[in-house]
Amino acid sequence: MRRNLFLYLALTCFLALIVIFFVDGYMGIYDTTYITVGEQEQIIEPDYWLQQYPPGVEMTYYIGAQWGQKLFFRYEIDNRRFSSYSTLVQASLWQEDEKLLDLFSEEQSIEPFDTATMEWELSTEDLEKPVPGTSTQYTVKISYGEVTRRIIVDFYYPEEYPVPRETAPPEKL
Amino acid sequence: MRTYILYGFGILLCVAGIGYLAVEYVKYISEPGRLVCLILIVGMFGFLGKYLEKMGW
Repeated sequence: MRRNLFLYLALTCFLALIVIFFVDGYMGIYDTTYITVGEQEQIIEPDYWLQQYPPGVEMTYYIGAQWGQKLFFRYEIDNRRFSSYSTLVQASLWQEDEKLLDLFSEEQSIEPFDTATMEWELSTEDLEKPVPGTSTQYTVKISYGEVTRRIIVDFYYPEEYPVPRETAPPEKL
Repeated sequence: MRTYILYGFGILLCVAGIGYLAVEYVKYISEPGRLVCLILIVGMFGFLGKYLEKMGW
């Protein structure tokens, strides 16, 4: 026993590492956001929100779209715990600390080691049209429990070019 | 000699296992968790070194 004491201690450290990886690194509640604009899908993985750059600044995600394009959101909450998880999931559109629209609101109950998927879309139909050639920014806030995710959407409204007027063909002499 | 080869193989598997788990899950580990992991890794290799030293390596 005494001869192998250091080996047992090393094995204990190894097992403790595995336990930490599982309990702290895998277990918990994780959310993934999928945003589709046009033909492109962007995925915001859970670790994106854990980044601290620059330090102390709340993480936001930035996405651009043209005015008139619809943004399709798919939101997944992964419950990697041994107990079920119930929460109210809300998504809303904000501009300069003013709530403009409620996009989604639903009570979710997620079974252990299960995933809940929610879908909603953001359209520019209910929003105020910006000046042509400029862009306007909105914030989509997604919240569940005590977590709030902020996604900044930049809508660009392209310049409207005048349609060339049809001119009559020159008269034949 | 054969025993040492087996020990070496075991150590290699442990390191590979930790590496794999770290790559897979380390991004979600909290700051205190990372610190404890670092201490445990240092402890693990320290104890392993001490054991091998006692074995006459």
